[in-house]
Amino acid sequence: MLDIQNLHVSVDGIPILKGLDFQAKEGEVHAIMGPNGSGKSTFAKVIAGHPEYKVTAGTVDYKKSNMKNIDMLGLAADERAKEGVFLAFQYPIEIPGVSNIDFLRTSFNSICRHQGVSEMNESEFRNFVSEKSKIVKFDSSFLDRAVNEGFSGGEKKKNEILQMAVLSPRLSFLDETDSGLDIDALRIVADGVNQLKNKQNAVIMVTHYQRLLDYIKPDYVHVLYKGRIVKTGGPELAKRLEEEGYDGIIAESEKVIQ
Amino acid sequence: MNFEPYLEKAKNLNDAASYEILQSLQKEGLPTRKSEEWKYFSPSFLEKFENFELKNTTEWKKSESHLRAHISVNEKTYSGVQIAKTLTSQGRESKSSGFIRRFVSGLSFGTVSFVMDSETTDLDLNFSAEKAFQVLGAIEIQVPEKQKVRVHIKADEYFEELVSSVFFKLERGAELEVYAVEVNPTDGKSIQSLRVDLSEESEFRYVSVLAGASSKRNNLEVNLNGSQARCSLFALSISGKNEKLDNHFFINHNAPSCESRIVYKALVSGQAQVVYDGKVYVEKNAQKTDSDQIARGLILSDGAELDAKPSLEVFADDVSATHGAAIGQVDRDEVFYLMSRGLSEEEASKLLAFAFINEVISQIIDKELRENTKESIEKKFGKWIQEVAHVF
Repeated sequence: MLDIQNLHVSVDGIPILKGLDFQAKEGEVHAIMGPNGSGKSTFAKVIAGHPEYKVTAGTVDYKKSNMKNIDMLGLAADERAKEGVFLAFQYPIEIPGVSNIDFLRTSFNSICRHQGVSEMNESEFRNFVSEKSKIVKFDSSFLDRAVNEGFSGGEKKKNEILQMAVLSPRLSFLDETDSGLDIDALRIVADGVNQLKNKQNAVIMVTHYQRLLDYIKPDYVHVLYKGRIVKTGGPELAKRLEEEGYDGIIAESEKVIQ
Repeated sequence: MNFEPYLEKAKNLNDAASYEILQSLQKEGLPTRKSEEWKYFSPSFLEKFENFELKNTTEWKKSESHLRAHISVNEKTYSGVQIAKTLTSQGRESKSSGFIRRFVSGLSFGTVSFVMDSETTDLDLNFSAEKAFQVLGAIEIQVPEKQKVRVHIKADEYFEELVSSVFFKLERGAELEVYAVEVNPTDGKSIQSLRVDLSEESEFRYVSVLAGASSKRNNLEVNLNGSQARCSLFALSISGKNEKLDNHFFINHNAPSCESRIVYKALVSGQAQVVYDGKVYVEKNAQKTDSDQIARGLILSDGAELDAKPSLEVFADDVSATHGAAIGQVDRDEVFYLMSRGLSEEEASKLLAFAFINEVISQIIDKELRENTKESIEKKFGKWIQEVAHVF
């Protein structure tokens, strides 16, 4: 579904990703781990199409089932969203003045229009969202409040996963969705993601901590270091990182690079 | 400006308060730009007012629960004493936004007291002129115990110069809602003042949307004089071209356990100059005060200017109070967030422009007025809003 070759990305002229290769297929769950500053969030943002992250080299091909490849780099952020790409933000933005449900409906309908699916009116959509809210135990009174305004850290992250549930993307990046969550909220959010993953979509989690992977089981764990994926393995790799830290694996990989 | 004739008049009327005010005005003259309070807006145009005549021209019309006041003045009938009173100093000069106090003190065009059976009284205060000329009006209104009053303050869009002043006194448990919605582009110059004094357990809500005024001074003074009184002020300014809008808000916590909240927002473009001066003053005995003040501004062009000065003076020790200002351009991350949810760049920018404005407009409780306000902003400034959207 996603095929990234030799991706180089700069922010404000500073190279962050330096030759990243990555592949993901339908039905897979990937975890991207790595020390601070290795480029994890940059990876998530560049795939979602943040305009300040400049791709200087490499290719990102995105394939929808039974359709030809799309060159993702040629699409603006909204066009990628319409093609089924989703990013759960590490720091969701507050938008005072716009109600959560209006925002969700605007977003949902613009994606429906693009995909040729019929849009929903206000009451249909409210029922639809109320149903989806159960997935992350999202208090429906928050639907009529301004987007993320005055939400706790946990509520903001639940709201991100609610958006994921409403938009049902094919490729989801979760950028440190576990950060700032207490153990109960982490369980609810992870349980929500588990309910949303299926054979047709792929989930890529960017995280610092092994504990998220106790709740959402990855098929693959990748270590990102200095803008490249230096090691890929199964869930056991995350366990090793938890016990040994990054040093050992980074030392191994640096030998390989040299 | 010579105030001697009015001094004489006040003496004849046995009006000691006015006499005192006029005396100090005669001595000090009109305020100039040298004074901090008048740095951006000179009241010198008032020099032109001549041959003042004290005359009540307020006309009240009452129908069931609805009351309308047309405050109109003919070309030659201005109230000199009222102008005088607007400009003299009285009370705690250094702490208050001095001018407001000066302006509103002792006005008495007409005093109205509401005693009505219905739950809410609607009142339209419309300042207008019979001819497109100067308008001067002042009014004092008392809201009795536990009565609710909803007021719409409007100014005729054809005036050249307007000075208006409204003073409300809320008795115990009274509720007052004031809407000042002006989205008509006007060429006139105006000074508009509102003062509200609250007794215990009374409540004041204020929503103002001022867009397109070429030169306006907007004064608001709130005195929380009784315990557990509450006030919330929501104000939006939309200014472009060479417009000048000078806002001075002052909240005085004089009693314990009162609440106050200010949300001020400004969109400034072109060469416009907007001032927000918000002062919250907490007296020594005003324990358990709860006060929040936030000013947010978007500057949309290089020539536009927004001076925001939220301030807080606290003399009590058991107080929860915040104040802050955030001024700048729109965060690209906000646009990206919306785009990552499928909104195009244009849709995202418009939504953010709308959201910025809507934080104040959504505070208008009456659905009809709320929708009308949105619509008239779209209508009068539609093109302009799009221009705003492009800046994001």
